Amino acid sequence: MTNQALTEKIFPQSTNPGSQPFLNGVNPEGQVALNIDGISLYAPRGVTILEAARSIGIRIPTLCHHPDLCFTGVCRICLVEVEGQRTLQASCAYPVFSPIRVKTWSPAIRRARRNILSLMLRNHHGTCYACTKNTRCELQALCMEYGITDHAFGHQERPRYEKDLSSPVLVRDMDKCILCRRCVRTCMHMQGVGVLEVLGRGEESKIGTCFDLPMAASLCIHCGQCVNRCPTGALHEKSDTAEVWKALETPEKHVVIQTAPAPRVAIGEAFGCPPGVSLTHKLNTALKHMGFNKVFDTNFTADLTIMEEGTELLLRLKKRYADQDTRVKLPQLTSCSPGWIQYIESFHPSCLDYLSTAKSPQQMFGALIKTWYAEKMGLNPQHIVSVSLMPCTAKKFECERPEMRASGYKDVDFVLTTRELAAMIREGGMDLTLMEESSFDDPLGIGSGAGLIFGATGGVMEAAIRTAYEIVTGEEVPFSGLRVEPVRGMQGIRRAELPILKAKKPWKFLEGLSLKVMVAHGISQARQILAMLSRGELEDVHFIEVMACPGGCLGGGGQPIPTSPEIREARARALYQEEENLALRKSHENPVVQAIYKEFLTDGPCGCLSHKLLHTTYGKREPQAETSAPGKA
Amino acid sequence: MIQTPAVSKPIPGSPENVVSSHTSRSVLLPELLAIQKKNGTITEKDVRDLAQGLGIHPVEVYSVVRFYSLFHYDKGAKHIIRICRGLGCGMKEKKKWAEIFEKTLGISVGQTTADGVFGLEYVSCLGLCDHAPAFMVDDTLYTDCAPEEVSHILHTHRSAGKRPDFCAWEIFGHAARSGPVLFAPHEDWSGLKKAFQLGRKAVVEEVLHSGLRGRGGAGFSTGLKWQMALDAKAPLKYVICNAGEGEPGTFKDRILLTEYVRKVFEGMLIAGFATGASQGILYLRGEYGCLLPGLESSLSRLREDQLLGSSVLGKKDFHFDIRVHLGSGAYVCGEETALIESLEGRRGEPRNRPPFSVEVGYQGAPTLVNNVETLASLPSILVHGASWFKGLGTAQSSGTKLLSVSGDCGAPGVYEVEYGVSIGDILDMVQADKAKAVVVGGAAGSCLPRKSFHRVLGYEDAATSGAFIILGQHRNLLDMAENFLQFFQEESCGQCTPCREGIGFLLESLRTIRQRGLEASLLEKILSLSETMRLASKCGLGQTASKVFSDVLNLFPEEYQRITVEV
Repeated sequence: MTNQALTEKIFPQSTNPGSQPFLNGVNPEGQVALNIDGISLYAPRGVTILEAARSIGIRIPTLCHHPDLCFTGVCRICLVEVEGQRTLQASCAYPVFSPIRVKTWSPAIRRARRNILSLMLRNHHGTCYACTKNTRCELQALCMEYGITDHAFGHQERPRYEKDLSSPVLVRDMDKCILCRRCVRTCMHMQGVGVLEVLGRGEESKIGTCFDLPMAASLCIHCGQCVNRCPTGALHEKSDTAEVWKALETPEKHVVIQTAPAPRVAIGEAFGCPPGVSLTHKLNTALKHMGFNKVFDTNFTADLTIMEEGTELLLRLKKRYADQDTRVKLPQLTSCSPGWIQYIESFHPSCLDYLSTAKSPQQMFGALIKTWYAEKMGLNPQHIVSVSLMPCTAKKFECERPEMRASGYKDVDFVLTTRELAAMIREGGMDLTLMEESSFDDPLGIGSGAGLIFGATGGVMEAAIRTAYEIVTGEEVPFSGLRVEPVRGMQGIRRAELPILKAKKPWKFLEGLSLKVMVAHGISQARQILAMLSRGELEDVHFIEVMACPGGCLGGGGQPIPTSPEIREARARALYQEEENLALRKSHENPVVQAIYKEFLTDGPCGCLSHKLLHTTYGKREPQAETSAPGKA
Repeated sequence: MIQTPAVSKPIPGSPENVVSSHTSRSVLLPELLAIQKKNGTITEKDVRDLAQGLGIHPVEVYSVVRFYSLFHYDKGAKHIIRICRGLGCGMKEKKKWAEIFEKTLGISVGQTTADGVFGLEYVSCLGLCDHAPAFMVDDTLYTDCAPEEVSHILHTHRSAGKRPDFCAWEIFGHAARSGPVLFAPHEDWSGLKKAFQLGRKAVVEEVLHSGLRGRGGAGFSTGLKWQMALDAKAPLKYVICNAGEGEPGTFKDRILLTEYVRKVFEGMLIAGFATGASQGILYLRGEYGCLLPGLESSLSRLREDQLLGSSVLGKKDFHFDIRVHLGSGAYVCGEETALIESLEGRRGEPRNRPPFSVEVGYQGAPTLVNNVETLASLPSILVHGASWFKGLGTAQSSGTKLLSVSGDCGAPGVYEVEYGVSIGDILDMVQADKAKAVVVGGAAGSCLPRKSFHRVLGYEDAATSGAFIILGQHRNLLDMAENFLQFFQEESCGQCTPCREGIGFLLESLRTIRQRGLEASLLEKILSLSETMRLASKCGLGQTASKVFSDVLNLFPEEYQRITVEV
């Protein structure tokens, strides 16, 4: 392709710089002229050299750069030559405001990149084959690419730091840290939780927590977004795979697994598929091969969540509008995301009463497995091992909470992240992409499409609207194909209104009301919601969905690495597409949900037994004492 | 159903969008300094309270505390003894002060006495090389002390916690040699009045024509920088006087900020007038803390005399005020973007450029940062004219330069010399007849051997920020290089890989050379790494850190042993 054709392909609206003189290098559309490796192009003013180069197919290696994060330009791998500059410039952190001529390759650049990689290895202690990131490590990949086969600038023979195993969920191995600060920018800027920062300076600098205490003593919400962005093995989740293998290999144990919606559209990435390929039914087969006695669908309890949380909302609305009770807390906030729950418990305990008391689908599932399912199957709950496949690291913390033992046992015994399960499948000698397809097991294998879209931001809200609207009005939501478009998408905070023109008998008080809802994903957005709430700006809003992770669960901290806005969008598309093909797309129409209220939870949603098994309580959270930290690796 | 409009994502780094979100954060460092001074330490409670007050995360405050060397988290002492480990002091110590204090107090450097009264630590160059060796107890500087005086000094500080109100600066504020620009007699404010006559644009032109370049080391054209600041459109602009003088072997600002402080302030006023700025900040390195009262009282006098505040000298449309901001112990804050980060209450880590500080600087506003000496040159330039200034020095380096002369010579001190003077002539002037080498420009400069003594001072030849350290025949140059590398290791912000990791490797290599000699393969690695550090580091610190060491290896082969490995 010629340069001109390339330029036009990438920036179709731009003019070829050769044919028209620059207007001070910035053309009327606010675009700026660049020449990269001899290729001329126009790009939007403020574009970084890296972005512009990538747009014309020139690859520049990066490490500290991440598409989700603000730029910092500290690793210096992405160096390029900018005409007129004495030194090399970090292309990821160089916004272009005036015309510029760039070379992305030269002998000096190659030498610099090689030296920088060798310098990174100086204090990078650890053995590649004994690392969770082996073959998936960005540092390793670059060293391979640049032919780094020795430690030219020396190497740490002994670890400099003690591994921090204090967190119930995350492991910090600072000997593998290359100080790219992605975790800091994730925790501080993207999530705004503010647990991690750079401490010290010079060669002594390291990433640490406030007062340099172990993670357990911090207010980490275990969202795992730092893990998703760590280029090396310095941050990873605590693995539960050994325990799960052990359970699978114990004949007297009845091992069941529930699989959440988000992992099935992402796990393929760990097996070489492009983002956005759904492997739901292949995954079922793989799990059965591995020896799980039953493979269930978390979508079932997602539907149940809609019934419980939806009923709770309608009850709150009744109190507010029919009983004129001004003390009732509205808007109701969703409670499916354990990272979000921990955030609000730690940072905004005054807002806890706004949270729905409904447990997350995972924990509802756990509670039912060791009660209803055990009873139905004639199993001793003691012999059941309840495993869940989750896109989430915070779920590992959630299942350990003392409130999550409603069945009298630990409701969910082990949580596997998508990454952990992918590793287990590989270890089991399977290529997931080549598996036969099979369905979920009875009786907890039926979930609706509404439950499936819980995996994407806005999905809980969409599912709730489909059910609540129909219960109140007796009619389907007024959207073609049940697609509640206004709550879909990736915008950080979304707001939508749904007028209720006509209500059925018990809900007459809602007639004429406009149901106001909001959707937020990512803790920075959650923080804004809470700020608005405390300022009293959300008094007229009824229901808000909040997810701790960007994109919702599909962007969870336990999902395959890497992540980016494009990857998350592809996963969301896969979820919605799969949903379209399902016959069952409303939670209240799920036959198992109907059956369970008939034969088990006989006093209905938000009834007595529901409250015991499916609802929970929250409390203000203080940093844990150092000593109470469990030490598993 | 309606959906609210999308919130657009700002373009990272674009001038329109880089406006600091935490304006109030700039009080963080002064507050921490006040706590440190009052209690000798910063506690967990202090960190939490400050974070809450500023609406930031406690770890952000803690991270700042852990960055600056003058702050102590939870292990402070009532009085802190800081022993200068600059090269100048190291060369003049007959007996190591560290050992004397260690013996007297019964602790090692880095420790605090059991009663919590005295803490002992090292400090990077105190800027007293001409009176070396020096140390500092709290804010009091001590030079020319005899070891026997130690117990008396300790007693003075211990008794009633009272600090002697003696400041060494007053004694040390004299120039060794005057020249036509900086140390020349000057009628106060005549430069500013001239600027008013000329008008903004003409002043910038004049500075451009004078050929004045930044005196801090980088040598960027001052006029061009002013032009950019003038062109930047903003309701509020800042002028910052960079008195972060931390370069080992540099102490010229000490003189300018005592004897010639009105010239410095006049320079700031001229800069403010010419660029349309209304706020001036003098960023003073923390180690120069005892200079603060003097500066503050000068400023109040100026305010009384209507030289600061609204309508300066009766000029209706020119309002300008100056405040002093004290640093907290970080050499890297001499780099202008790190300085700005520090002013904003953050870790002193250099920023990415573009955008440049003159476009997006302090609190997102256009900010002109000039060195003390650059600003102090301006009043004379305006009074006598650009051509007069250009007539001094060489074609590419107009004017005069202040040299901080120290080391093995008979007459250390601050000298004003014209650019173009040879190294040899300077050595004669300062009574150094047997020099083996001269370090021009300090740790970030270069090391010149005898055969280069014909070279002349100037941006085009021997460039310098002002340090001029003379090493006699008996000096071991590897000692000197090690001292500098240790300094850089201590002072690197640690942000970018080449600087953070590279300095450590150079230091290890130096020690290897000392023990075993230099193998060709190691030399190759060192030179390759030096190139990478020079080209790839984010700021001047990393870019210059390897220079003196590679100069020693390249130009002084007799200083170490070469090993030939037989293949």
